[in-house]
Amino acid sequence: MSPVQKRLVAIGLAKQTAKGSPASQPTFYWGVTRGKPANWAITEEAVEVTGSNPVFTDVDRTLVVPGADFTSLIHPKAIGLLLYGALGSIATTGAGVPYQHVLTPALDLPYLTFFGKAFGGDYMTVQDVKIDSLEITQNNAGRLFVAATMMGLLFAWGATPFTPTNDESAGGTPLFRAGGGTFKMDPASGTPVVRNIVSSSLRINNSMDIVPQSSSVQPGDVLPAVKDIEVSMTLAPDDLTDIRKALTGSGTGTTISNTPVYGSTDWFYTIDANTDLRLVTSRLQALIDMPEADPKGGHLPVVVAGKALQPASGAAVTATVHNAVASY
Amino acid sequence: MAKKTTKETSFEASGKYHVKKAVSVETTDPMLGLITCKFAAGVVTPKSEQEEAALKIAVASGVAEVDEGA
Repeated sequence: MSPVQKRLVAIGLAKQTAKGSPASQPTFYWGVTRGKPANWAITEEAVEVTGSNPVFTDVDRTLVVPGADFTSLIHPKAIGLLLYGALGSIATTGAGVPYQHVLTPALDLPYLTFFGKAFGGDYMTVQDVKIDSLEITQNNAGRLFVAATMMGLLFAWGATPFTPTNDESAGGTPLFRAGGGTFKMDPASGTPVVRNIVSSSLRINNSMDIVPQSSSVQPGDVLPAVKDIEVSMTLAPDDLTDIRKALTGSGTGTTISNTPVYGSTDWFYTIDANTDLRLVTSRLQALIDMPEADPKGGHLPVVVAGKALQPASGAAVTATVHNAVASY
Repeated sequence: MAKKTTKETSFEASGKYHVKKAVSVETTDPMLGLITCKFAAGVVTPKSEQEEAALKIAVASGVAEVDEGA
């Protein structure tokens, strides 16, 4: 036999109908740019007990949380399930390609089954998974990345290859990239305008709570707590208007606003006429520090960062996906 | 708000919703569990808490709106 190869990893995901009802095969299957084919966090501490030896005599395993932790490129089909898993609600319209999927935050999240092909001939699953965090990042005009962490309830190590419904790990699959997209923001209104946003990230942190149980070291449940949605972007502006807006509340303001200033973003990525992704926030805490001077010169990067907040109506963040998937 | 006079025996919709185009909604609610609803385009009066929750998701998604005539 030859040595195990690090490249031979693929991951999959499928939605479950209910807790305790794992999917038998992945609905979507793709490769990673970083991460593991499965993950587990073991809590195992030394037993502190007196005795005649100078060393610990034993350890105790109290909790093992199986899950996943990876970064990948963004595939047009899988991203819908990832966003649904991270946000919790989906509204699907359309009678043919392209179907439209609008993802918005919900109080709970769907259970998923995670599949991991581990370096060749080993195949792992984690059932009853929920997405703890999901981050979509762009840098200049290049491909988008999605980083995800998941926590589940039951791990299994198998040897039978998966038969995915949608195998996006094959070469030639189109991928989302920033080039060709449209990037808007405004730090002080709900009407974003086009800006030169050279990099950005949207992170959904579900603050997952682990519910332990006495009958097993694996959790009895995983439960999303507060949904902390963080937005960050770097602008290469032509003037300091956006900094002024974020500080004073208007492009002509002269004094610091006594109340928070709320902004908005609208980022649009496209692959073709039937495949695109839009990420919108409508009430954004848009904090901007005064950038540092640099004796070496060059363009001024302006970093905008804050939380997407719940507006009076609508959603804190809305992700819209158009693709060929009829239903998630 | 939806009113529930006794547990799971009575439901009174808070209003009507105008569904702009046929939509399938799925969400998970801590109290109501997994909710899957389909609505045809037109004016819809929710018949259950699940349907009302789904219609609120449709509104947040921009696929439906509260019917002003209700």
